[in-house]
Amino acid sequence: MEEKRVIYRIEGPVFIITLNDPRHLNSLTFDDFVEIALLLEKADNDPKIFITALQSTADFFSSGGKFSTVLDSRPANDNEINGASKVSQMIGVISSPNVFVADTFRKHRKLLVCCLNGPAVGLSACLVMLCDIVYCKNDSVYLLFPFTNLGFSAEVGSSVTLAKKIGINKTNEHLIFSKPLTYEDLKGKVLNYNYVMKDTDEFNKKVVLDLQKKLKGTNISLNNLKAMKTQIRDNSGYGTSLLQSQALETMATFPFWMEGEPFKRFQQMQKKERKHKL
Amino acid sequence: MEPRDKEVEASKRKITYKVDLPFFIIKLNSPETLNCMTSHDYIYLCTLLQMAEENKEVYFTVLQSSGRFFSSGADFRFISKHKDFLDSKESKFRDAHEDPAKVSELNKIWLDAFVSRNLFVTDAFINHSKILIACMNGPVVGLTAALCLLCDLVYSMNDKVYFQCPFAKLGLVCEGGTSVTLPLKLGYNLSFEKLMFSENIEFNDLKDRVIVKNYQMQDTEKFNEIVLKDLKNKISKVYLPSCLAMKKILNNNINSDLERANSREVNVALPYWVRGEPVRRFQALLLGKRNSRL
Repeated sequence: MEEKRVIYRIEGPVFIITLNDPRHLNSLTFDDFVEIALLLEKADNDPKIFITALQSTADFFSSGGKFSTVLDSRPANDNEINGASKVSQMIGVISSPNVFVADTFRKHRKLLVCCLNGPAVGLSACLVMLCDIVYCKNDSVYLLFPFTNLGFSAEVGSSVTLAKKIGINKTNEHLIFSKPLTYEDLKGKVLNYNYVMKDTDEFNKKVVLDLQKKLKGTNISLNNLKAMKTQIRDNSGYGTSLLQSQALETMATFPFWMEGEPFKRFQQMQKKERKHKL
Repeated sequence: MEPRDKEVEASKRKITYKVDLPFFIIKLNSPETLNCMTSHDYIYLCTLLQMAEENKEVYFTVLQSSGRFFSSGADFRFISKHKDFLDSKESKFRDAHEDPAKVSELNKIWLDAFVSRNLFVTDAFINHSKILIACMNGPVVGLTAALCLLCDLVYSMNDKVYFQCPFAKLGLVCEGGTSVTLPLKLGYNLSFEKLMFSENIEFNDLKDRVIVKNYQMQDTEKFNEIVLKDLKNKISKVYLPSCLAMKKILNNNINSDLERANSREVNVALPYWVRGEPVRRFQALLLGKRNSRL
């Protein structure tokens, strides 16, 4: 039986979600993204959990959506299928990450911590940007949002998270030209702390230990934590912008998927006729 | 030729453009005046922006300049048309505030000369749907600085580049959307410092916040060339319609704030123009400049 790509475990007050397919650089199917969202809900509803941590394995956090899962989502018999059923099918595929997953992250009441062990690409990089806190293993990490290179528009909150966290002009440069955000670009803005380590398992363990220590240190109550998280998210307008972005991004990216340009480009990626510029 | 035609002809000489698809390149080409801008120049610039907007094959509008300064802002010589505002005994508008007819006339003058122009120019930049790129070869001042702050991408030739928004010093208030763009891009506290004290916004303040790349070059023409070459390389693999969708979604939240700010900024500024303080201060600066040359 194939091993699960997304697994979880609980360590005291920390709910740990791990991407566990290092052989394929932890690339994910659309269902895997939904699976992550469902685990987030599970952590949200567990009264013993204070922190939800995203971790990964080996040296790549996640290379994003699998080419095959994107290409499989293409409506069958593209030319014969009638308009309404093509729209229904495509909007389902697009909304699943852009509305369901994005909103699960937005409304998560526990502290969301990402342990960034390496580069993250595409929708996975969007999840990293949606986290409240990001720690990195070392300075080899980068985030790449290759949406213009793949023929569509900003997805899963990235039009808001990037602009808010790294500033609008820099966001323009990196999103419009599909240019990776390096450690230097992210330092102090997205990455709170660099652990300067080599081994991912040790890094993951160390972060969880540190988080447990920090929780003990403040002795914060779960209600306080939730209340502060809501304040920070909503009083600055960040939460409202994220909520809006779910509809706006879905409908901005949708025409590109209907027109089919992304499928063409994912196919070229799969055949290695197209590469991301790094 | 009518005087008006002469001014438009002058704008046409000072601001040139070329279409190099998918780029529409606008160049401020009056280095001998540090690319200072008359009202006509600003309107001409925005007319070119409209041309870029309407051309479906254009995806990027690139602003370039020449010489030492990107632009030194408003051409002070406009003051010569407004001698009536200065405190001379024969001034037509002496003690105007006591006469509603004179105030009304003043409102009309400044609605034409300031409000409608600024509203139009700022809006042209706010609502431009193509990617707006400023290639900063040197310092930029005043309304032109505000327009550069409305650009999506700013590249600098070197670290001598600075922005100057001397509205306080000129007896004015924020213009060109700066009441939104400066806090958004520089942060609130730094914006207060720079605006209240009309301080230069230096390269180090701008780095990563406004300027996304410093080319560390000395020659403006070569700098302009290299930026364009880089842009062509950067877009070689991207799907161009995605870029415009990306800009639209990124600006979604900001644009309504900017449109509101543009209207408030010009209307709040109008009474200052009517009372004459900015003209007196422009005049004083102009005299100061002349004296410093002697």
